Amino acid sequence: MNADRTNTLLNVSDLEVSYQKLKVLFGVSVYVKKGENVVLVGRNGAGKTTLFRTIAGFIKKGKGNIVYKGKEIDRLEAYEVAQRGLKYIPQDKQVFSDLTVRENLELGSYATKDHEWDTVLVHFPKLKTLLDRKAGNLSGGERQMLLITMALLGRPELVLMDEPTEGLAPQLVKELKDAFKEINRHTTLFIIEQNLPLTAEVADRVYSMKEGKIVAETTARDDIKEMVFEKYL
Amino acid sequence: MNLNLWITSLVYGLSMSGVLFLVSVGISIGFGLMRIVNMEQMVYYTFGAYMAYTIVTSTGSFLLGIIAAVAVAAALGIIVETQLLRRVYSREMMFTMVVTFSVFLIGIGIIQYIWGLDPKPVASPMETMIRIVRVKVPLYRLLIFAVAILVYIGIQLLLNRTIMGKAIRAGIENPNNVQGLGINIYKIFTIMFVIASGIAGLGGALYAPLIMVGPYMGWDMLLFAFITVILGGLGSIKGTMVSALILGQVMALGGTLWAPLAYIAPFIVMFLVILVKPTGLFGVRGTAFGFES
Repeated sequence: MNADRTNTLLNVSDLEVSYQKLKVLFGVSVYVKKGENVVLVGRNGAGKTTLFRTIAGFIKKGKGNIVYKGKEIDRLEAYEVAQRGLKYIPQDKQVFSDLTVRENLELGSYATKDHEWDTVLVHFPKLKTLLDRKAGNLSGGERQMLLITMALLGRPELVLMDEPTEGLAPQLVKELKDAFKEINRHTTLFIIEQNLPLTAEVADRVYSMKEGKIVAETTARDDIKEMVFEKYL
Repeated sequence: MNLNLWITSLVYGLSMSGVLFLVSVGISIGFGLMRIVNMEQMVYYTFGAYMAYTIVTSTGSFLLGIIAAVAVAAALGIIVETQLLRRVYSREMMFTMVVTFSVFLIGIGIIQYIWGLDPKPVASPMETMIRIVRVKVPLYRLLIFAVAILVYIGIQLLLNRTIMGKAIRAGIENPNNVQGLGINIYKIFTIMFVIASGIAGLGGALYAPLIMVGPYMGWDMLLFAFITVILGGLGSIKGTMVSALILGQVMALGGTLWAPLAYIAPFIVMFLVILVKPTGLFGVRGTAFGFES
């Protein structure tokens, strides 16, 4: 897995994580370069979400290092990681359902002091018509759009997305895919995805994860298109 | 039962509702936002009552007593939250229960050390009686309820009209996702904890003239405060208010009909409601301890 590491935004090395005595990550090393769209694939239980949550500061590491923009972030609280421009969008599509879409966005602005919603709503114009709707009444796709829009406030440099297309209708998946390409022009993306054809379309690089370890890294565009990473799962 | 008893019972119930709301709201916030069982709220309530006793005895001013009660309770809240509870938020519920219960016991010990074991009377700030449908009732009891309503309105304004309040509401639903946005949830915890402690102190000070202030007054209130929170729904401020209103009347009316009912009836009401609606009257979806509405 030796590669050109210039412009590295995120560098995770030899990461080990345990839930009490149960070890779930075994020396995981990944990196993400500025402007890349990196996808992490793997079966359920492979440790993908644990890796993302550890990078985002929600889970404390056992061993290893997490370096973001040249600084170690593995001792920071989750809110401090987010304040440094590394956002994490969880898998569960949990918006703040008791608040309206507008209030959800206000919270995103409150945290980042970025009140220019137009620059982020451009990816999902539909949300503009839903501003006064309770977020709890949104569909799964709309929730995902809202979560991505909230995460993009403050112009983060790196966004980690945990299975953003899970459970969505094909039309919505296509919409998100187009949005990813547009967002990726300004923001680096590191995405967990189970949808392998989608991965083949959007990824610059693919990590395959199995039983708490990175088992393969696919970099060649042709290999990604042909989904060679599938054989490692 | 004649009209006199009905009206008197109603007014006594309202004052009880006011006190129940003031001492319970901190427990509700603790459950909903911080996921802790906040037993030591009763220490702030007791300290509030003792501060009212000390200031009223030495200066004669009940208003000063109220201010001192709120200030001391809030200050104690800051110390306990920042020095102790912040270290245990991520621990399991039983652990935080033991911690907050220990603080409660230590608080009682400190109170005994400072003020002794003897119950203390606090002079009533007013003897004014007003007439409601020809029945004379003490104005002070209605004032307690009015203060509780004002506190409730204040909390609702904070939660619904300010960005801090929206962050708190979001935190009650999912504190991790609030952090994920870059908001320091611990700062919010501290602010809410201090507000809740001050309100509990206010409850103790307001209730002090109606009871004998003693080191164990928190014990008497603890169970009813928990019934109020559970009946109203964990994490719901509106639920806590509605629940306090119901329980205040149940206790007053029950006590009027048959004295032991004042203590038994709240339990019966709680069990009946929980049987039908396990999350309580206004349980917040996705809140603590796996309760999902």
